[in-house]
Order: sequence, then structure tokens, then C-alpha cells
Amino acid sequence: MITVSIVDDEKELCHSIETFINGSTGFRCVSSYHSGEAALKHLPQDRPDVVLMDIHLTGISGIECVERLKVMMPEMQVMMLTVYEDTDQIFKALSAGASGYMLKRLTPAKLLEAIREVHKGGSPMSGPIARKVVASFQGAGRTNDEKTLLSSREKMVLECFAKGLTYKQAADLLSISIDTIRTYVRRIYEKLHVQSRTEAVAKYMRH
Amino acid sequence: MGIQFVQCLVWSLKKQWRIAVVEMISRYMGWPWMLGILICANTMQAAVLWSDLGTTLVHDTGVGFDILGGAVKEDDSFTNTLYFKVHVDPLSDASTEEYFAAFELYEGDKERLGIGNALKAWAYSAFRADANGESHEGSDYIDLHSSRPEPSTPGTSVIYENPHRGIECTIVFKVQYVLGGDDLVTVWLNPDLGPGATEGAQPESLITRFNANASFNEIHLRHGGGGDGWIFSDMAIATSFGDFVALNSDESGLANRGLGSREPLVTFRCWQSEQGLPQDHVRALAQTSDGYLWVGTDDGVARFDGVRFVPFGLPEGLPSGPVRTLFGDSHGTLWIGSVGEGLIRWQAGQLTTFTMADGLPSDSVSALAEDNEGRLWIGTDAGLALWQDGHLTTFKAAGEFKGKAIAALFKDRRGDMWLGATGVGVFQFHAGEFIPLQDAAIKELLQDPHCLLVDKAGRIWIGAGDDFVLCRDGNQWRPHQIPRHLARSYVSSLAEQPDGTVWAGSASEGLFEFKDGKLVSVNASSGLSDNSVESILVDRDGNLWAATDAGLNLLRQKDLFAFDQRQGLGYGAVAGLAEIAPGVVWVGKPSDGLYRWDGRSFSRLMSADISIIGQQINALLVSKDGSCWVAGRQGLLHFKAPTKTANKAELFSLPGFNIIALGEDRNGRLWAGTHEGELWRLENEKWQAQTNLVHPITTIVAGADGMMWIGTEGDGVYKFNGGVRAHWGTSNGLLTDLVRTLYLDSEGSLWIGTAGGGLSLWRQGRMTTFTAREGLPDNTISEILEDDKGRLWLGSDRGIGSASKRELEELAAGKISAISPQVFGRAEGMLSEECAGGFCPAGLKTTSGQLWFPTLKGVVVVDPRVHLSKLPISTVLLEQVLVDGVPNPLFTVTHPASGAQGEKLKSTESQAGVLRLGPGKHRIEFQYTALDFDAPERIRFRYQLEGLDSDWVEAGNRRVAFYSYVPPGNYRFHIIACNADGLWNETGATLGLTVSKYFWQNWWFIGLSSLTLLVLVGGGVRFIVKRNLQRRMEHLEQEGALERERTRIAQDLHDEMGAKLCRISFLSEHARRSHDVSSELQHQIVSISDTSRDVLQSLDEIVWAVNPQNDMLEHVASYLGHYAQEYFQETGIECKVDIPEQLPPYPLSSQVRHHLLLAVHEAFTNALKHSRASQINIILIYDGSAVEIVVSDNGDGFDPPVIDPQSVDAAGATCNGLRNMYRRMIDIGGRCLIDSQPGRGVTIRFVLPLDHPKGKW
Repeated sequence: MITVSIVDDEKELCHSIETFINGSTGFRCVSSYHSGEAALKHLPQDRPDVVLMDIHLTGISGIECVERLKVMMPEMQVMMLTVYEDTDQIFKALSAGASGYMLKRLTPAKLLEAIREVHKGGSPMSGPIARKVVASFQGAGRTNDEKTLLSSREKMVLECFAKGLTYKQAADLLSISIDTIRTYVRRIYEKLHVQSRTEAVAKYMRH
Repeated sequence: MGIQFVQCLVWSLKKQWRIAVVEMISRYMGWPWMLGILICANTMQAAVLWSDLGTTLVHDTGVGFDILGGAVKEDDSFTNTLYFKVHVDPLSDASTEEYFAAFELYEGDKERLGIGNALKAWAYSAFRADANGESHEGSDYIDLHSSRPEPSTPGTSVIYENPHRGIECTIVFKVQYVLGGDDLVTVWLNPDLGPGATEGAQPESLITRFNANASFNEIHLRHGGGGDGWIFSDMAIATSFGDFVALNSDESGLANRGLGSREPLVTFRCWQSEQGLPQDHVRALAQTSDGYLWVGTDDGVARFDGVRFVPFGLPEGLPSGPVRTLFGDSHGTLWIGSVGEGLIRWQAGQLTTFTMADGLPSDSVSALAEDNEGRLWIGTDAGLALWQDGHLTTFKAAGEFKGKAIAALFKDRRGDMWLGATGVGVFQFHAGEFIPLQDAAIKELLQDPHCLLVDKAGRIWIGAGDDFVLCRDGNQWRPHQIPRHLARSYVSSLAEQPDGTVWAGSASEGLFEFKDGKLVSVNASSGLSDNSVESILVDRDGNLWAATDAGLNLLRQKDLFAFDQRQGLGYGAVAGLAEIAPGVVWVGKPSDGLYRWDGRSFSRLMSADISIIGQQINALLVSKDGSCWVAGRQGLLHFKAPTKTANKAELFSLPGFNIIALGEDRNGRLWAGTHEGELWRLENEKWQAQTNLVHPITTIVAGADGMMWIGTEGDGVYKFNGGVRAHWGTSNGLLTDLVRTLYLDSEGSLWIGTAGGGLSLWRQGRMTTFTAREGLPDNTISEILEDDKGRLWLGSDRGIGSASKRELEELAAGKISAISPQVFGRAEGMLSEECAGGFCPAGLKTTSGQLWFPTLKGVVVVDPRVHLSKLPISTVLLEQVLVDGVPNPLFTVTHPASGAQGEKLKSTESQAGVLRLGPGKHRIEFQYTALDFDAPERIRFRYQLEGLDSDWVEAGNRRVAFYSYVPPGNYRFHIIACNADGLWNETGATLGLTVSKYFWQNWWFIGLSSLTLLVLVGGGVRFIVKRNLQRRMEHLEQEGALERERTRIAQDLHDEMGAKLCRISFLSEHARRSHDVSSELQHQIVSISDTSRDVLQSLDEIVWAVNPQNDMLEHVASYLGHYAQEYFQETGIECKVDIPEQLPPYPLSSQVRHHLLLAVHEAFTNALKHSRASQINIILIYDGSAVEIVVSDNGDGFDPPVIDPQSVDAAGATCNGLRNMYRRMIDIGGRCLIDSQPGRGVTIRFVLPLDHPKGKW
């Protein structure tokens, strides 16, 4: 049973998704919130397995919410929901600590699959995101932290995605399993998260 | 020989003594006593009994009058021998008119013997009177033999010489008196009277002997008939022939520099109306204290500065009418005495006229003088008046002249005033009284005085009567009568030069110089413009001016004499010159043989040997031992004792060679150079060849240490000593190899005169060349002579130029750029300006310092001693300033400087005033002058307008400085002048000048206005820039706003609809899950769900395309890849995407993105729907100039129809779809290429060119 919590400021949609999840076997929606503040207040108590968070929230933004949530509950899996694929925002969310993202227009079946994925530990990577990640890491020569540098394998994986390959295609190309790919992706995101956090701290320190 | 010598010596001593005695006697005892003394002198041997060394013109004399005055007489009772000498210069010419002229012996009123030209004779002739004492002017005449007879036709021989106008002649005749009968007469026509000449040595060809009764006690000079008469001069009666022979030429004549007693030593510079004189009839002269010369004419006065006459007459307020007398007083005022208009005073531009109404005794003012008290004495036709302290007055003593005409007034050196009144006498004003001069002998003359002078020596001179000049020396009066030919030749004026020479101007006979006790005529034959002299003046520099009926004249010392056939030299060019004895010069002519100059005239040298070498004489050389070498075309003659004529000469000919150059080395050996280039040396009377230089050797000069300098015509200069040691030609700095003459000066500099290449100087190892560009008169220099003052005199093809060596050395050193030599040409008297050259020695410097130049027409002699160095010019004046063409009234000097300024002007600083001009653009003209009458045209000026000119402006002899624009400011105009010698008067004249500004020219105004302008401009620029910027900003903002608007719309749309569509999606899913839904219904629900998701997807794309954040190629690429993957995700077609990892930041506008993506979407749709492919590849290629998206599948393919975007084909959606793709690409500036074959899949390429990095906004 995977427990899910939804944070979305569109009440009707929220309700729809909630209903849907509850109607799906193996899933249970434990709570739903309509604002980031509320989520932050109550999620630590709910302790769901996965949090579905809309990027665009009134008040505190979803990205910032994720950030704060990850500080409070680092092991929490947050999946960003977004109406349209704003790579920039998604990237920011991933950097902030989100484990994955999902388009709201995905088929509901897909939605469930994605939740399962995130719960398992995978993170989604797509071409655009990969390219953004590449760009970010290129710019991150500033910190010599080993934790933020990508290994060569990770780099290769990233390149595959940047070129537009799918998970399967990348796995075929690199002669590794899809699961391994997923692991790499997760690690990449972790490093990205660390890097972005470090940057934030650094920025904070500078001022 | 020895006896003669002694005789000559005795004669000369006695002559001096005799003249002194005569002078004493004449001073104290008068003329009759001279007879006694002279008769005693008669018994002495070898004595000159009487002489008249002056010149007398006789014309139309009729019987004439006695000139002896009883000095000598002979009658039948005497048995001695007398010698007569007379020098004639005929103005009448036998070939043109019939006349007679004679030096005639009279006994009482009976004619005896006349020598000259008989009336019926053509030639020089003598005529005798008959027993009655009448000669009828030569009905019985004897032609005189001549050694230079008239040219005759072949077959006849003529031995007579006709008198020719301009050709002078000396006649000596001897009379051996015979008791009772006719006397024996021997006549020599042009005998040789040079040193060493004797009676016996005279050639027979010029001796005529006859008998005549020659008793006489009078001598008349006569002329009658046509022509202008004859001039007799240098007459003497002596007791021996030797009395007429010159001992040496310097003493033979007077102190006339051995240039011939007949030569006028003076010449005149004339100004007439062509030179600017307002009227040729000049009546009066004066000089004002500022230095200007004033001339009074028949119509006012004119002011002269040496170059320009400025007339003043009626327009200036002068009364019309002739000017009688002018006077410049010590205060700088000009006084004008007129004929009938009174006395005019001109001071400081102000004219005041005084007439009888003001107290003048008469309106005709005849004489003016100023006494030591500063009072002006005014002599009129009716008495004497005085100007004192500003008004006319008179004084008691003057009462005795009331009604009398005052002819002359004079103030002597001591300050005493002298007065001459017509009909009354001559008076000296002393201690308030007029003391008359009295002398019984000349009482009548004293009553008719015309002019007065008291000279430095205290002698009183009075021009009196019709033709007398009275001179009182001590207590003795001596009257001098001027020879006259016209009725009124009275002496109108007297003047004294600073050296004591007294001059008299006569009304019809020109000027007379009082010299050696006699008045010597200096008249039109010397260059005076007219013989009627109205007034003479000696200016403060000592120059003598003469005002005549035909112009203004200035006396100059002649420093250049040209000798030709008139002096006996014959026609043609002259080549060699040599001084064989002091004052005696031999002249060699290339066409006419050898002549000798004895100090007075030339005579042909008749030595028999000369004919051996032919008539072509090239060069003459006097060697150290006194002998003379004569090089002719046919040989070389050596005269061991050239002072003795008829001396035998040795011949040293070089057969076949034409010697043109002679030189002598240190050892006295003769060197000869020939026209063929051969150089020979005479050693022990044998010729030794030295070398052959091929080109004619034109000059040989001995240098130091045995070196001989050889100049050739065609090969430059050689240095020779045993062999050729050095050579200079055009490669060494000479302009030409044609060398004409060389001169080695005492410092060792070698001066080289060339033909066409100017003058070169070889000095201290350097060769410098001067040409006409540097100021030489011409580029062909044939003679280089140095005078005693360090000046080089160069004989060239265009006259003779003289420049100081110092100046030439400065030119060589580059300190000055040109020289201004004193040039002598035709204007100075040369007959031909071309000096002959090409032989050596060329030119001659005599022991007395004269320089002789051979020319193509005779010989030119220059006396460098005449040219005395002078002081710098003392007066430089600013005459007028013209502003914009109008003489500025604040500053004009059209007046004799007045009062206090007058004193200031006496110093060299003058007129330090300031001229102020108003603002605006002004043309300013400064007219200046310098008052120096010696050589005014050679005065050079320099001016500088300090403040505008950075340095002196060389004005040459221009007397105007012109400035076309003088900007506002303070200036000082400074003018200085230098005289002909190059001495500058550094002070000159100055004038301050201030040009005020327009207010808008002031610096503060300009500054302010510039500043304002700058600010305005700056402000304007900023304003424009800012406005542009603002506009752009607005534009951008507008665009941005638009973009944002679009984005907002899209987003809103998306958000609104997106959420709702999501709901649909979820709701339908939920509905599907519900159990009581049939499968059909389930399908439909799924369709709804799918469709809504599709809508969402489409919306997603639209929003993406519109979002300005997705403006880069990068975004498009990554979106495309992701989009493709998503599209083919569930389709069964494997999608492979290949996008470059890195893409440049190339911006693509939303329109481009939109169309591009939709086109690609179309391709995807086609592939999905129609291709039945299993694989599709999407590749994005970027090559810098274009982006290419290749969509290729492995499906069925098709036959691509020709796409025509315009046609509306109903052939199906495929075509439509293709057309769409095509159209979309075209719309964004790209293209779509479809490549397919049935069974081989489809490859669509979307190409988008990237124009420039900025892309399209």
C-alpha cells in the first residue's frame, strides 16, 4: 500500500485525483492540501510515502515547499505535478529535491505507474531535463566537492538522455539494465540537489 | 736722355714754383703785373710761359677775344723759339657743316696764324693771314699731316685727318722766330707726348712745316659757321717741346687720377617729368630739417625722398603761381616765397599765407634766410621784412632797403647775415648795422648782385652782373668771368660743398666749379640736363643739386670711365692690358694691334716689330723685371724696356700655335698656354713643352710652392707642377668645364670665373658656386679683380659687378642666401656691357688702384676709391597710412614735421605714435620712405608688424607694406632700412596700432558663446539620443508587453483549460472504472478521455511555442526530442532521437517555433498514420548556417507529388498535409524537402537557415 498525499490548489482536480487514487488498488490517498503552507504544516505528521505536489501553488511555490519539505523530511519522496512541461520549473524542482515529476495530462494509469516508480526510487529523466542537468553541471565547476561531480558513467548516461534517447535505448546503448539506468539517474539528481543546496548556502553566506 | 730727364725735372720744379708766384702776384697785384714776371720767366729754359688748363667752348665767336691777357708776346724783334700746345675737341663736324675754328695768333687786331680748321679746308689745317692781317678765315690754308689719316680709296693716298665730332686731338706747333721775315712753323698733329717722347722722335707722318708770320701778342679762340663749335683745352705756351711731355702720367694732368684731363669726372643723375617730377622747370630748392628735398616749380612745390615726388599745389591750399624761393628753417617749417602771392608758411600741415596786408613789403618774395636767433629774414622786391616770434615785423636798419629789391640773403658760418640788394649793393649785417662792401674796381658789379655765398675759408662770393662771379679772398677782389654765348648768362646761385668746393650755377652756361683758381665748366656735356641753372643747393649730406629748366640734377662723382675711339683707342674689342710704368698702360686688341695710354689719351704703338706678330694681340704680361710680353696670333714679342718706344723687341714665337694665356711663376719664368691646349714654359730662351690639355688654356695663375693653376675652356681647372697634380671639373662642383679666369687671393682661396657657370670658390677643400640666382650680374665671368678694400670686381657679360669678399664668403657658408653687388652697366656709362675674356691676364689693376676691364667696345676703367663707405641711413619715416584705401587723417606726414616733433625727427627714432582703428576688417597700407639721396634705389627695407608678423619681412626697395586683414589687437609697425653698402639703421620708424574689437570678438563673448554652443549641442545630442532610446525602450516594452500578453493569454488559457481537461481525464477514468458501464460505453469514455488529453497536448504545444522563455534553439531542440519520444511512445513505432548535446544560443521567434513544430508534428502524424513504419528517426543537425530537422521512417514510402502551395488540390489530406508542411516552412523562411520512394520509406527534411547570429526578432 502506497500512501500518497496531494498538494494542489485546484480543489476539484485535487479531489478527482484523490478519488482516483483511492479507487486504485495498492494506493491510498491519506491527505490533500490546497496550499504549500498547509502542506508544510501537516505533512510531517501524515508521513505519506509519496507526495504529489503541484509546482504552481498560490502562496509559497511548490518548489520552495519541496525544498523545505526535504529539509524537514529528507527521505520523503516528492513528485511534482505540473500542467505543462516547463522544463525550467521542473528542473528547479528536481534540484530542490523532488524525486520526479509528472504531467497532469498523463493518463491516470500512467500516473499510478509513475507513483510506483518514485516509490521504488526511480526518478524520471527526459531529454530536456537531461540537457538542463548537463548545463547545470557544466556551470558547477565552482565547487570542487566530489559529491557534486558526476562520475564518468553518470556522465554517459546523462549524455544519452541529452541526445534524446529513452531509458530503454540508453540501456541498450550502454549495455546495462534499465534499473541501473534508474539508479544512475537518482544519483545524478542527488548530486544536483546537493549542488543546488550548496549554491544556495553559498549564496546565503555571501550576503 | 739724361739731359732731357734733367730738363723735365727742372721744368716740373719750376712749374710748381711758377704757379705759386703767379698766384701770389695775381692776388696782390692784379693781372698786368703777371706780364713782367712772365717776361722774366721767358729767359729761363724749358719753361711753360702760359697755360690754360681749363676748357673753353667757342662757338660763333666772330673775331673772338684775347685769352692771353698779355702773358706772352712775340714780334719781329725776337729770335727765340716758342712752342704752343692746344687740345681740341670738335663739336662741329667737317663732314656735316662748313665752319672754321682756330687757335689764332693775333698781333693787335691783325690776324697772323690760325691753327685748327680753315673754312675751306676739310682737314685739320693752318691758315695764314696776308700782309694786311686778314686771313679770311682760311682762304689760304695748309692741310696738316696726320699719322692717322682718313681712310682712303684704293689708289689714292691721303695724309690728312678731318676733325670729327667726338674725336679729340692735340696740336703742338713750334715757331722759330726769324728776324724780320716769316717765321718757321712746325706743326705736330697728335704727337706722342708720353714719357720719354722727344721732338726728334716724332714720326714724320704727323709733321707739317711751313712759313708764316707768327708775331703775336694775343691769342683768340675762334669759331664761325655751322656746328656747335669747338672746345679748346689744355693750352700752353712753352719754350721747349719737352715742356709738354709728361714725366709720368699722374702728374701730367691735374689731380684727375690720370684719366685724361678732358674726361669729365662727374656725372649727373637727372629727374624730369618721366621720372615723376611734376614740372620740368624747377626754380627753387630747399631741404627741410626732416631730410626731405623740396623743389619749387611753376605751379607749387613737390617733396622728394630720392625715389618719389609728391606734389603739393592748389588742392593743398597753396596759391597758384610760380615759386621763386624755398627755405627750410630750423624748426622744420617750409617757407615758400612766391612771385606775387606773398610768403607761405607750411608747418604741421597748416598753411599760412602772408601778403602785403600782413605787413610784407611786397608780395614777391625773392630771398629767405634764417639768422642765429631763429628769425627769418625775408627779402622781397620792395624791401626786407622779418619773421620773429610768430609774426611779421621789421627792424630799423632795414629801412634803408625800403622799396629796393633784395636779391640775396645769406648767413655765414659765424652767423653774420649778408644781404645783396639790386641797385644798392652788398651788405654785411654786423652789430645792428648794414655795412656795405666797397671796391672801386668792381663797384658796378656790386650794385647788381644775384646771389651771395661766404665759404668756409671766409671768401665772399657774389654772382654779379651779366656774367661775373666776384670772389673776395682776404682783401682782394677777383672777378671771374664766365664764358658766355648767349645774352644772359648771369650766375643765379652759389653753393659750397663740405670739402670747400664752390659751385656757381649760371642762367645759360650750366655749372661752374671753382678749381685751382678758375671756374671750370661742368655742363650738359657732363650730363647736366640743361645749361640754364636756376638754383643750386648743397644738402646736408654734401650732395650738390642743380635745378634747371629741364629737370632736377644731382651731381655724382664718376667712378666708371669708358674709353673707346674718342680717346684714341680705335674701334673694336680689347683683350690684353698691362701697366708698363705707373700710369702707362698698354692695350692689346685682337683686331687692331697695340695701343698705349699715357694718362690722357691713347696712341697707336708704332714699334716696327709689332707688325711681325700681326694685328691680333691676345695677351700682355708685364713680368717682374719690368719687361713686357706681347702675345699675338703669330708670335710672342718680348719688350725688354717697354717705357721706351721704338724699342727693339725680341721675338719668341711658337710657330703654329696661338698663345692666348701668359703667366709667370715664382721664379720669373714665363708660361704660355695656347688655344690648342699646349702648355709651354720658357726656359733659358727656349720653349719647353709641359703638357697638352687638349682644350684651350684660358688662364694661368701661379700658386704657392711652385704650383701652377691652369684653367681650360672645356676641361675645368688643373693643378700643375711638373705633371698634373689635381683636376677639378663638373664632378667636383663646378657648374661647367669652361673656365675663363682664375684668381688666387692672399688667403689662398681660388676664385674661378666660368663661361655660363657663374663664379666658383675653392676654399679649404670645398667648392662653392655662385650664379645669377645668388645675385651675380651674369653667369659668365671673364675677369676677377680685387681692390684694396677686399672687394672683388667681376667682369661679366652683363656689366661689372662688385661685392665684398666677406659677403661672398658668407654666401658660401650659407649665412645669407643672395648678395646684392653693385653693378655697373650701360646706365653707368659702359658702352658695351660684355667684358672680353678667354685670355690671360684678363683685366688689370694699376698701381694707383684703378681697375681696367677689357670690353667688346673699348676699355672700362673703374676707380674703386670713389666708392667711399657711408654711414647708415639716418632718416627712416613713415609717410602715410592708408586704411581701406583712405589716408588716415590722424596720421599723415604730408608736412614738414612741426615744432617739437621736428626735434624728435632729427634723431633716428621717429613718430612713435599710436593709431587707433575701429572694429571690423581693415586693409592697411603703410607707406614709408628713407631719405638718402646717394643711391635711393639701392636702399633696402625690412618691416615687421609686431603681433602679426613672426619675423622681419624683406621688402627689398619697395616702399609700401600692405596688410589685407589685421585682426583685432595691439600691434607695432616697425620699419628699418639699409643703405647700398648693407649698413642697417636698426632703429628706423615705428608706429603703434590698435584695432579694437567688435563686442562679439571679445574673448569672453567668444568663450561664452562657444560654451553655450557646446552646451546646446551637447544637450541636443543627449536629448536626441535619449529620445531615441526612449522610443526604443517603448517599442521594446510594447513588444515585451505584447509578448507577455500573449504569454499570459496562453497561460491563462492553458491553466484554465488545462485543469479542466485534467479533470475530464480523471473523471472519465473514474467513470470507466465503474462497473456498470458497458464496454461500448467504456470505449466512448476512453475516447473522451483520450481526446481531452490530446487537446491538452495541443494546448501544451501552443503555450510552449508562445512562451518567450523558450526562445532559443536549445529549447526547440530539447522540446522536439522529448516531444517526439512522447508522441511515438505507445504507437509501436520505435522512435530514435538524435540531438546535438550543445547548441548555440540562437534565438528563434515564437512564430518560427510555432510553425516549425507544427510542421514537424505534421510529419509525425503522416508517419504514424500512413507509413506503417516500425522505426522513425528524428535527427537535428546544426551546421552553423542552418538548422535541419530530418524525419525519416522505414515505412512504405510514396511518390511525392510536386507540391504547389498555391493550388488547392482535392487529392486528399496527404497532399494537404504536405502542402501545410511546405507552406509553414516557407512562412518562416525555410524549406521543406521530401524525399521518398515507394517501398523505401520517407525522409522529410526541414531546413531553416540562420541568417545572422541575431536571428529574426
